[in-house]
Amino acid sequence: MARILVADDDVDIRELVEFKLSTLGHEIVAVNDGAAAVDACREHKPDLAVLDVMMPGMSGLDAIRVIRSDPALVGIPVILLTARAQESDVETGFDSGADDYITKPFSPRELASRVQALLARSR
Amino acid sequence: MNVERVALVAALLLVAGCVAITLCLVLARLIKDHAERRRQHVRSSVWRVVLTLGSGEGEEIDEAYAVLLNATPAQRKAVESDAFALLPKLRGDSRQRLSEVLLAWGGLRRATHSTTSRSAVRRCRGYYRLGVLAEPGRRDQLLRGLDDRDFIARRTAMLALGSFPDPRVVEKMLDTAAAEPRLRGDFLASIDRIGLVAAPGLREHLARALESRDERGARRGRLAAEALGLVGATDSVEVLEAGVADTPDEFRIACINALGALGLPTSIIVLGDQLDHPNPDVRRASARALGLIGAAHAVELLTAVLEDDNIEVARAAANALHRCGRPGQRVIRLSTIPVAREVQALTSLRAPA
Repeated sequence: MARILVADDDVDIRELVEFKLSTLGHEIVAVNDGAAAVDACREHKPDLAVLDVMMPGMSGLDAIRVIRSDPALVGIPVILLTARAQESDVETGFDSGADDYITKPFSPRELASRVQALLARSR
Repeated sequence: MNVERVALVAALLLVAGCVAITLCLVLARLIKDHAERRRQHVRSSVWRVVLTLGSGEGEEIDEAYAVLLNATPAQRKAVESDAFALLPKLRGDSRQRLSEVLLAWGGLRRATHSTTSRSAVRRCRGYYRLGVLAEPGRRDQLLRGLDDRDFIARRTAMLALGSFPDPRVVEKMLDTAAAEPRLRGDFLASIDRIGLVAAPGLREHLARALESRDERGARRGRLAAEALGLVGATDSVEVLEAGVADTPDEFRIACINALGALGLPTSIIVLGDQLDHPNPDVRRASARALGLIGAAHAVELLTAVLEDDNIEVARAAANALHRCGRPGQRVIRLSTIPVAREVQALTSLRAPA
């Protein structure tokens, strides 16, 4: 079982991801913006984070940059879950330090597989 | 009866009326809160089944599907709106099954009915839901939505049409967006979802606009060019290149931007010629487009523009050179021109520590 942070301002997506990952036995910490995601990382030290890119206040990309610049959080694997599907967006996501990138609309089963793979690789 | 008594009776009646209205409002609020609590209570259990359908595996999905098909009207009502909101965010089997459930619940019939409502909000809901379900038989209903009397409903119909990968929707969408510029963003968002299926229709409109040269045709042509670049219609390069030559500047810029978005190195010569255009907006768009193509062959052309009189053109050329791989980046590194130094400084700031 792992502790996973889910940050998305869309309540439907947050509920769906939370539901899917909790059925796999993971403990979920759910927040709705980038700043809260960074705070939750500091407080809960998750094993993995699933971040939306476009969130009010601090975006997912900015949140990753903060996570990657903090020595205590730098090792947290991050998956970006976003509606921005253009090649340049994916490139920007990886440049910011994301470990994986999933575009919306998405398959929750595919997200779960990628979460499991990333957790296995990071252990 | 004297005046004082009449005033007293009137005041009492007024107070009684106010009390009655307040009581009615409180009662209405209590009833509404109670109904919402009941809905939430019913929703919590059914919503888990919807989430299982949307994210479960094999048998779980079949079980959830059967449960939802047999849901009571109260259960359906409690989750239908949320299910419609969830559906476009899903992909694959999950989306298909949830869509089938909503159809079985009569969602299509209710959505179609809503599009004829007097309330703009209900019509929007109807158009949105028709777009989510994307039933080909309701295409014409949505096309009629583009003529709705309310802007917000026309906008919703325009966005909903993005769910129909059907070339027959393109003409009407283009006409509507050309006639109403504030629908441009929604038109492009929908065309982006429709994808390459829209390309032949767009290409035809662009070619027609090149021949006609009237203002309405030019607006349609500009939008068609923008959309062709967006969907990556590489087989439209010829007509876009024709749009760069001898056309009004705005039209020309739209075609230049589209050629940049398509990113084919064969367009470098046509775009390079535009770097000498008297209008700085055209020169800037060409420099930017050459940067999007990012080929080493463009380096020489862009280097010459680094000292353009217009600072924005020079800046666009410097940014474009930075995208042209090592040869372009070398020019930027060795240059002492302010815009080149600026691009270099910004690049080092963006680089990971």
